[in-house]
Parts: sequence; structure tokens; C-alpha cells
Amino acid sequence: MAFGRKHAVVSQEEASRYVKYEKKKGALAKSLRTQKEIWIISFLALAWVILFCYVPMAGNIIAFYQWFPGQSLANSKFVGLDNFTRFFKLPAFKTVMRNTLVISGLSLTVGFMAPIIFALLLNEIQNRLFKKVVQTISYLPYFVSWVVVASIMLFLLGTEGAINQFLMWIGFLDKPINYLSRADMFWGILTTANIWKGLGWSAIIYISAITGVDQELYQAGAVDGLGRFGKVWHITIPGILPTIVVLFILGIGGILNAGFEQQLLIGTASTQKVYEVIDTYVYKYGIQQGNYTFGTAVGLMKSIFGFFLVWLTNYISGKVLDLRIF
Amino acid sequence: MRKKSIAALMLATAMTISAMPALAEVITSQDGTIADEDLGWEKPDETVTFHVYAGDGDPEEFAADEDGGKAFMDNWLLEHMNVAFDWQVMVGDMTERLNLMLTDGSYPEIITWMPDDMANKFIAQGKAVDLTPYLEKMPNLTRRLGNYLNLMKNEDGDIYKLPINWGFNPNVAGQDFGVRYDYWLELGKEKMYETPAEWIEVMKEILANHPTNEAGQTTYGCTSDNQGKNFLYAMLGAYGFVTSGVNGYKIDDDGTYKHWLNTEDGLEFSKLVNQMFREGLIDPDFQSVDYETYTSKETNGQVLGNVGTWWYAWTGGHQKWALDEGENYNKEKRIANVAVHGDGVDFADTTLLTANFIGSYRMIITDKASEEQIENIVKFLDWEASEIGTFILGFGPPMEENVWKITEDGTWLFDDVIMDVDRKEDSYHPVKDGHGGLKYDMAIAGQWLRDDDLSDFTQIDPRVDRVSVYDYWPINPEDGSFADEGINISWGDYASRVEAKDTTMYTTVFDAYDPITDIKTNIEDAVTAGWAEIITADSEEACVAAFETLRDDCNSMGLDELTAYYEASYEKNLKIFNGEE
Repeated sequence: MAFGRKHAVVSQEEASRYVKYEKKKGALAKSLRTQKEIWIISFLALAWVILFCYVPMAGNIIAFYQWFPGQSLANSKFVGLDNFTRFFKLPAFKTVMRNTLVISGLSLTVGFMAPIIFALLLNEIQNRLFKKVVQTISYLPYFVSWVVVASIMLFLLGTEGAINQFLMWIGFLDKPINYLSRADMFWGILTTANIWKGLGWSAIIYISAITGVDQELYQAGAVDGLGRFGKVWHITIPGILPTIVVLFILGIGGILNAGFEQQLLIGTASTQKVYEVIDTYVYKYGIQQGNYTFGTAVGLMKSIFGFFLVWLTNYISGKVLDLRIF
Repeated sequence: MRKKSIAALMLATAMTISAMPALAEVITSQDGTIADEDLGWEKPDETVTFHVYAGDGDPEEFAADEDGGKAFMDNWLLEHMNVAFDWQVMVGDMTERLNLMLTDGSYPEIITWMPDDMANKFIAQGKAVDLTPYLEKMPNLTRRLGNYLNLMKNEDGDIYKLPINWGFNPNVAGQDFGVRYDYWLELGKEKMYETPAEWIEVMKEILANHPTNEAGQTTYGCTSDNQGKNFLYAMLGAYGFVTSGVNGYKIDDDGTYKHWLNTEDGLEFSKLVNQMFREGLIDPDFQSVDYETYTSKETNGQVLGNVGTWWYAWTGGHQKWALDEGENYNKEKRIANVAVHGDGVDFADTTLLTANFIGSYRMIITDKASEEQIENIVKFLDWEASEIGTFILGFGPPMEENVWKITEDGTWLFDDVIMDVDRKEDSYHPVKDGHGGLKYDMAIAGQWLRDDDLSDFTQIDPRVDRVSVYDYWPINPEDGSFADEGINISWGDYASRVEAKDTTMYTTVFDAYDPITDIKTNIEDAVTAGWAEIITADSEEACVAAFETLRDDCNSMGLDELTAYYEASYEKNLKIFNGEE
């Protein structure tokens, strides 16, 4: 007889679910009790995250209004999804989406693999001093601003730049090529610049993961007849696979973030049709026109889409590789 | 003991005497050649302070006051007018700052140098004071603005904003097709070129004679720091298309607007610019060049001409060479500004030089100002608009040590040393700046200070012409020609060919949420990219194809709608100006 949920006759399955629930319910309280020092230390950081990351999300409401700075929401006209549909109706929408997906795609493929390969190669260097020097030099470009990078690129790729001078000197070219004005070269140049700038820094986490691989596995592999490449393929890569998957899942959420500064600094009128991405587009039609609600709407759309992709990738990774973040 | 006393007394006397000149200097540095009662300002009993946000600038640099001009003007204003300024500048884009200020209400009583659309935002939200009831207290301002003040009216006929840096254009030159004058002389031609096509032929000869500069770098006829748009603006001017306020329209006699993309002239000059590129007259890196690189290429002789805004040829050209070479400088070594006309266009119909009387920037008094503060601000605005007020705020007070003074016969006389225009960078600008010139300007008439229907500047030194708060040009009073040989070279083939066209009525306002603004941005975007394709096309056929593609794209984006919007705006401005609305 059932005379109250707590005392009802329940099935084994229901009972185990109930136990799990009780465990979960008690876990937080227990944690607060037994780890109060850590909670106290973390309190400020948590408060900062809530105050500056979550509370401002409420401001996204302006995406549904025709709002001006200084005007209250109550006095603003509710426009529903107009700001969202405006983005799709603008003439260059298809070009912008294509550019965004291509540039992000290159970043998620070539740009994602490069630091992994670099970390693997670095791991193979025996000379410790040389390895440290190479690693240090590799992540220095990360700290160089894009303004300086643009100047470097002009110095290298300009009509009278170093590369043209060299190629003409060795007879490879008859006349210089204006690389920065070539639309067919822009994506390659941008991806290369992104890789050069981020390679060393992104490789740090993979290098750290590689050092965590059990060294006995390499000895066992040697006994089994694995060569250098075999050890990398069968031991190192599987050892750092969880790291790779986690970073990929997190990275795919930013597929619609294809840069902003780089395009504005390196792009020219001739390459506009290949460099215009969502962020530069929104800057032009939103910020520069003083239409902040449009910028908010597109940003919100990007965030929702990115979140969905992260969830989907996490789900697929869980199903296929049994690796998931959440 | 007595010896010690005598020594101390002598030392004290010597110190006192040596300090006298310094004391005297302090006293006389604030005395000028105008009495307080002649300023036209009723000095208040208590100091009046104006809190002003004046736009983008480095506050630390402003406070550091390296040229001493701020401190000088602060002292002078306090002593002679009992006025003080809390002048605020901030790093960063003014539009973004103003939007933030609107959100949190942190703006001061006065905002100046603000873009027109931001002024409209403040007005729309009730943050600006209605100046209409105060107009009768600003007789100088209303007199000098004349009918142009009507263009500040809103839909209800009220005035909430004022222009800053307004007036007729004092410049001799606007857009030009410049050439290295010394190299042009080598060609031995009798007459200066008159069309863009002739400029191309002359420049080809010059480049053939001077294929590299001293550093061995390839030379070119021109370059750009705005993705090649300077070539477009120069061509539009030569062919008589209006660019100021609108973007490249020719207005027929019957008032029909025609965008340059929909005209044969547009195709013709596009082909000319493409020819310039294909024949090596345009720097191939023109899309990656910024202003500093542009001027340095002129300075180092890599760019031997100029197509676009006239003063680029000056700042990178002879102004730099004159300072660097000093007494050895040859006046013929300069990039002369030359006016040209398109085929089938008379010089009188070109639009190379234009003038927008009301400019693009505005000033408002905000709702933070109390009634008493508004009265004081209005009073100062009117003084600023007076002839003497404009001159003092623009050039600093009149005194012997400054660039100007007032003589006994009432002439506003400029210092002899500044008549050498090649030495402006050390004899004029630093002296003017050091005496507080243009440190504080709320709604100043920055343009041509001349004697006409609106203003009375007959007292200005007859040896100078085209005086503005920024610049001046020495002339020969007998015939009005420029006194400096170099200026005559620079402008000899410009001043005699064209005059400024008043384009004020073409001023057009675009609202952020109006769909027409999207159309305008779409078309501007398309033109930026399409124009670069036209310039860099490999052949004339490819150039024509690029032109036609751009034309079709823009027409499909709503160019006709935009055209109608500009037409309606012009008609409305005309009616408002004439007081019909």
C-alpha cells in the first residue's frame, strides 16, 4: 500500500533513481560543509562571473526592440524579430556567411591541427635546451598585436616587400605580386597569419598533455617493435585524445567568430568580398550606424547557434568516442 | 657683521633686479593691444565656468599643455573676461562615448564637435536645450549665420543645435591633379595640362625621366590612403559631380539627379583611372597605404604627383622639404596643385572645390545646464561669434608677442615673420598655439573670415587673404596675387581656374533605423569594393565589365530610391533655408 511518496512501494529502478537524487541533493551541502575554504576562495570569482557574465545577458532584450542609448525600454518600440530578419535580408548576407564559415573552417581544420602537430614534433626533440628555446620563440607572436602583425605583413607581402624582392632576385618572378590585394590569396594569408600567431600558445596545452602520458607505454611499445612514428600514432595521440576532443568541442562553439581585427587591418577593397565576416558586417551596419539593437541581435544569434553546436558535438563525441565535457 | 649685512643687502638687491624683467614679462604677457572695454564682453562679477565635452583627444596630453597655450588662455580669459573652461577630451571614438553618456547620463552642460546624427539623438531624447528663445540674445551669431541658421531647425521650427567650424570655404584648392613642379619644368612645356588625360601623359613623361627616387625605389604618379577613393573624388570633381553631402551626383538643369555610375562620364573616367593603374602611374600598394606612409612616399620622392585632396601634396611635399632643407630649399621643388576639367566639362562646372557652410559638426547645450548657466553660455556663444571673439579664440589675444596685434588705427595686423609661409611650422603655428589659439572653440566660425553680407572683417591686415582660424595666405594688396612665390607656383593653375561651389543644401540626414540608411551603406560598400576592381582591372575590357557589374549591382540595391531621397532632402533644405518651411 502506498500512503505517501516517501514510504511508497517502489520499483528497484525508481529506488535507484531516488538514491541518486538524494545523493545529488546532499552533495552540494556536503561540499559546502567539508570544502568551505575552497568555496570562500572561489566566492569572489563566482560573484564576478555572475555579475559580469550572466547578469548582462538580460541586456540581450534590446535585440527585440528599437532602442536608443539613454532611452528606457518602456519607451522603445517592440519590433520582435525584425532585427534578426534584417541580418538575413541584407544583400551581402550569403557572401558574409560563406566567408565566415570558410575562415572558421580553415581555423578549425588546418588551424586546429597545426598546434597538435607542432607539439608532437616538439616532443620528439631530444635536446632539452633547444626544445625550450624553440617553444619560447614559438609563443612570442601570441603577444604581438594585430596592428603590428599587419605592418609586418605589409613589409613582407607588399609590392616592394621582402618576399617579392627575394623572389625577383632569384629569378622566380619577373614582376612583383601584390599579395594583399589578391582575393584568391586572402584566406590563405589570413590562416597562415593566424597559425603563426597562435601556434606556440595553443601548443602549450598539448605539450602539457603529452608529458602526462605514461612513459612505460613507450617502453612497452618499443618492446613491441614500434618505431618513432608508431609510438606517436599508437601511444601519444591516443594519450592526448581527450584533450584534443575537449578543445575541439569548445572550439566549435566559436565557428561563427571568424575574426574582426585581422580583417579590418589586413583587408583591402579588393579583398572585401572574401574578408567580410559577420563581425565586420555587424560593425558596419550596427555600431557605425548607431544601431546597437542590430548588433545585439546578431550576437545573440551567434551565441545560440554556437551553444547548439557545442551541445551537438559533445553529444556525438559522447556517443562515438565516449568522451564528453558535460 | 656689518660686512655681512652689506653683502646680504647687495645680494638681495641683485636678486630683486634680476627678477624684475621676469616680473615685467609676466605682467606684459597678459597685456595685449586691446582694452577690456573693447572686447564687447560684459565681465561678470563671479567667475563663470563652462563644462564642455569636446570629443576625441588625450586628456593627459591636453593637461600637460606642452605649448603652454592652455595655461596662457586660461589666465587671459580669467583676467579679462572672468571666464574659465573645464574642457574635457577623452580617448576613443566620440560617437561611442556619447552613446555611453546617453546611457548613464554622464555628459556635461555643453557638448561640441559632435557629429550631426549624435546631436539629433540627444535632441530626440530631450537632452538638449531649446535655443530658440535665446536667439534674440545672440545677435552676432544670428547675423553671421544668416539664413544658414534655418538649417538647424527641427520639424517644429525650433533650434536645438548650432554648427561649429562653419563659414565659407577659405581654401583655394580642393581636389586636384598635382605634379612635381620642378620635374614639370624640365619638360619645357608652355602650358599646364587641363584635363585628366593630359595629366596622365605629362606624368608618364616625368616618370620616364625619373623612374626611381634617390633610394632606388620605383616612382609613381600618385597613391592613396583610402582604398583609391581619392581618385574617384578627384575625377568626380573634374567631371562636375557633387560629392559633398551626396555621393557622386550630377544635377541637370531641370533638377534631375544622375549618379555617376549611370552616366557615360562615369565610365569614361573609370577607364582613365584604370589606364593610370595599368600604365604604372598608381602605386600598386595603394590599398595598404595609410596617411603617414602616403606623405612619406611624397617626401622621399617616390610619389611625384597627387590625385585627391590638395593638402596631402603640401604636408608630404614642400612643407617638409622647406623645413628639412632650410636656406638651400628651392621653391620650385613642390607638388603643385592643378585644377583640371573632364572632357566636355567647363572649368566653371567642375566641383573640385566645394563649401558646406554648416559643416558636419554640432554643438548643444544639454539639460544639465541650469537657467543661469544657459544665460552665461548663450552670452559667451554670442561673443565667440563676434568678429573680435572669433579672432581671439582662433589666434589668441592680440599682442606683440603673438602672431597678430591691433594697431592704433584699428588694423588687425599680422606679424611680419609669418609672411614667410615656408616657415609656418616654426614661425606661425607654435606661436599661435602658445598664445592659446583654438584651445577653446564651442561654436566657432572656423572658416573664411572675410568682409561680406554676413561678417565685417575689413580691419584684417590687407597683406593677408583667405584668413581662417586655421590658416592665412599673404598677398600683394595691389593686385591680390599671393605674395609668396611658392604659393603662386602651388596655386597658379588652380585659383585662376575654379571657385568654390556652395554644396550646403546637399546636406542629408540619415536615421539609424530608416531602411534608406541600409541602402546607402550597401551602395557605399559595393562602390568601395567595385571601384578597387575597376582600378585594378587587367585590361580596358575588364574595366568596362567591372564598371557595368558595379552599376547593375548598385541599381538593384535601390540606387533609384537613394537618389529620390537625396533629391527630396535638397528640396527640403532649400525651402528651410529660404524660410518657406
